[in-house]
Amino acid sequence: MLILGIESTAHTFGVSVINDKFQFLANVNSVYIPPKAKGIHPREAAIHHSENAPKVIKEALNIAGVEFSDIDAIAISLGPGLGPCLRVGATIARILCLYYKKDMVPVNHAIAHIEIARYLCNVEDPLVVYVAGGHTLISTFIDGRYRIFGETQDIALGNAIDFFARKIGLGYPELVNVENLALKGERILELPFSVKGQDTAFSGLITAALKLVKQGYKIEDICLSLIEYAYSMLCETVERALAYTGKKSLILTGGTARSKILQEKLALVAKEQNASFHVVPKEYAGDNGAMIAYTGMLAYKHGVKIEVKDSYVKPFWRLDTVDIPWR
Amino acid sequence: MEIKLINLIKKGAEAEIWYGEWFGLEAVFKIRKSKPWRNPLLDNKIRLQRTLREFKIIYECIEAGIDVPYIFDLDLEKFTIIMEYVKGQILKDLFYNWDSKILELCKNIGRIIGQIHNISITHGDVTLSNIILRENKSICLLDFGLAEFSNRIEDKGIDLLIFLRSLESSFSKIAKVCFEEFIKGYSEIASDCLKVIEKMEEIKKRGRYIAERRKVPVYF
Repeated sequence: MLILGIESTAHTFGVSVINDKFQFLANVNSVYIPPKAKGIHPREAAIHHSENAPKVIKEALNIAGVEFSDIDAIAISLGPGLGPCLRVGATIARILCLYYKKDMVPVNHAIAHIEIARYLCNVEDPLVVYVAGGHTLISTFIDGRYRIFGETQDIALGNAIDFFARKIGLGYPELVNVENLALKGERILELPFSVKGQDTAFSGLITAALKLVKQGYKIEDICLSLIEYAYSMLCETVERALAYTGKKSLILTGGTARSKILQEKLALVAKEQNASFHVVPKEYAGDNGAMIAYTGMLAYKHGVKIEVKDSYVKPFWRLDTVDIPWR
Repeated sequence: MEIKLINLIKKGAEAEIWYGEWFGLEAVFKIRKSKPWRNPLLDNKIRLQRTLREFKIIYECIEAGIDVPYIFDLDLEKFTIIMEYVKGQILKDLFYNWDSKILELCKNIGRIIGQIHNISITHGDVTLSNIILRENKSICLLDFGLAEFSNRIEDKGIDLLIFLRSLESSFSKIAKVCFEEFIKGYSEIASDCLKVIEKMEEIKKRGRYIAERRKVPVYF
């Protein structure tokens, strides 16, 4: 049995082919990179996806050495994400499903990030920290669903730091550039530390940091303070969640999982609570087709499908509303 | 030795809770240890601020006649608060065995949260692990580590929401009825209960990717 997975929620158009032994036969991703010091414009990203989709799909099939007739079902990430981008992927998936008479498997993008990390790190029941441009949340699996134990109340951590970086004129990859400046910082400036129970809020932190920029503080010090405050806030909620749930493993996933500084800090958090620490492999941290194909295979094996006529995109599809029959 | 640490009760995220003796009395030592993942400059600042604030807030609660652990001593050099050892059952353990008394308990917790809100204190971490039912059946509220002096409807709303999330995350099947009772108790006592409940509903929708917040459904 083969599944073709399509990812198209934000800046990445990705296609992957997986077999029923959960081996990836192909994983091809094309990433839209915005102009310097600009964010992702949903329309521009959607145009990138529609222009690159045929090439990416063909390449994935070539690498996998299969044809459409070999594929059993198409897994598509219907949300959450940017509407225009989601629509490109969904339209392509619908056409392929109708034309080649394939089953369609709906996949929640956030669940896919969690499942690929669990699979590749080989962890059964972890506390999940999912940080990216769109999400910052702590989740555990309870009673058939991934429950959200804590999350950001405003913008995501990756989004917050990227936004700050663009405001001070840094380009892609924004987070790496801010962290590099932070390494040269020497002192910690005053910023708001907003942890609200299990939740965090980052927008006030960014406003305050930008104010410091205007006041003429050294940019390296501001970057250091921003990184320290933002990561410490997250680490604190993670440590509390570990203490509360008593989970013995911690897994870090999502695009921002590639941050070495965040990895080091969370490894220490896990150690404090006697939990093992795992990070999703770098090439599967950011959005990718493989995680959609993998989660699609899990779902399809448990009978999850959707009729094409019902396959609306869901830009606001929260992960705690999705039933997980495979756990 | 008049002061003796005997055993570690709990290693929380924020502090270590030790059981020990304080001049012959059973005592709890709440020690805010340094966190290796925090920059040392930030670390000391946060520990001092929080220890002091927690002390002041517990003191205010005692003054207002709310059942909280009694404070014996404060050691700012070691970021430590020394307080009464509260004997009883942690509510989270109690909730695993369903019993009709649980609903009454939830109502009483609501009343207590209403009381602290009325004296402009928000707890910041109202979870079932932070509440003890004493042997004399009085409900004792613990851990004011994240509490604040605040009269903001926002902070009060967060208290309610955290309690709801704590029910949902461990007891998803009974969460709804328990929370309804909690709100009943809260509404009896809290002076601006309607505004706080409304705010809580708003904060609930504040996370990421909440369809309800969008007035127009998105169908394509």
